[in-house]
Amino acid sequence: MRYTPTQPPEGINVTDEHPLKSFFILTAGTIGVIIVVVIILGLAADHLVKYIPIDYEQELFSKDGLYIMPFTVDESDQGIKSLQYLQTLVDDLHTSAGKDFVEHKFQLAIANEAQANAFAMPGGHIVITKGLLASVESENGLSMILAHEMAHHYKRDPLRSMGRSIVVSIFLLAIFGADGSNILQSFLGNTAAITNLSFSRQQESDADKFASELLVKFYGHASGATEFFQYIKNTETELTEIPNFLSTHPSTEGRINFLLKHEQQNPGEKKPLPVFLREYAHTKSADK
Amino acid sequence: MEIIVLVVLLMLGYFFGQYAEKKHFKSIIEREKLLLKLPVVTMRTPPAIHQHELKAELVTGNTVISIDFFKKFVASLKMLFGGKVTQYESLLDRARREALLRMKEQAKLNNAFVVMNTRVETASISKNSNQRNSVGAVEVLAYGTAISIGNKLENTK
Repeated sequence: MRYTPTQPPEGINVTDEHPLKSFFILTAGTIGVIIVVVIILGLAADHLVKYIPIDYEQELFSKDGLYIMPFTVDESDQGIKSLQYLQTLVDDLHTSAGKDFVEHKFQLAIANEAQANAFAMPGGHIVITKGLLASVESENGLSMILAHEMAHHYKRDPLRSMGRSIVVSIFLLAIFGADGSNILQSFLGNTAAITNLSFSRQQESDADKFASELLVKFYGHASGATEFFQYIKNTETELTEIPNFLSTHPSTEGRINFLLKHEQQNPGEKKPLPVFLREYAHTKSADK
Repeated sequence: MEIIVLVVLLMLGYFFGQYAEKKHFKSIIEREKLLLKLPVVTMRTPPAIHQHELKAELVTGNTVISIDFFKKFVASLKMLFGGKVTQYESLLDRARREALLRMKEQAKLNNAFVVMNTRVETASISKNSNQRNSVGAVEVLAYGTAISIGNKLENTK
């Protein structure tokens, strides 16, 4: 037997392929697949929401059921008085919304938080923070926000987004299991979440449009529609601003422009807020 | 925020990983040339040499090589779709050749003229390699019997 020393040739056990090539193909392919699947699943969830009766939703998320309230509620006399005022305002707005939405019922709550915000929760719940009451100047501005949250309920957006996130998480869980720790899992989860955000932005724009139209029906004009958004714009600094595609809401600038046009087309006199509400809004919040 | 972290990790993994890999392959090829004259075989019976006593000794070469974040990421995407995971190929090739080289270097120290019955074994290190942001490593152990020439034998006939 003879041994002839020869260097083995390269490239037998290693495929000669640029690493970036497969990176781009695979990343683009995966993102594409996720976007398509999330859109299809999302539309399916949207479609099913129609078949959940409103009274069933209200029963399911009633205070004896799956009621979600992540904030502390103020139970002082002033707080209760303000809550009653808000409830009346919402019921009045609801009456002028028309016959299509008769089945809806709303439950208000004031969260003892200084940050201005409002939420629509499944089951007809609307939560307004104390900070929001301080951020608007007139009843019209406040009605705009209430009408915006009501619009979410009329379109059944809280249930829709809940349904979407449930089907998408089930899809991701089915592929990757439950530990949630893999890099890939968080990458795909983020892709799915960003895809869902575009739906969320669409819902917000629709709700803005509906709300300003409801203002015209109720007051005869749309003055005050931009109040809250102007406030947000003034408090937003460059650092807190998030790029549009990563945000659940459309840009404040864009919303103001849209609403301003509507305001200018339907001008009118604003109605001031009752004095007790102004006083209450400026008392200290629990989180400060 | 998470996206920025991911991109930074991918870039770090790509640039450092590629640099380390190129450097390592260069060094492997150079050292393979130096040790080319020492055969490494998988035969189990030693050659028949009657004039000399043959000395046998276990020689081992061991190496652990880690995969970079970039390769791991691409490989895990690849595993969704199936197919050749080329990202792991260079890693294993480097580890195997490095382990064999180390074994040969030890055999050379023993003045061996051949390494017989060579075996290569692989194990993965770091059990948490599935955890987020942690990277796995592969261990390769090469071992064989180094044969060297001992004392001259008296002719018994």
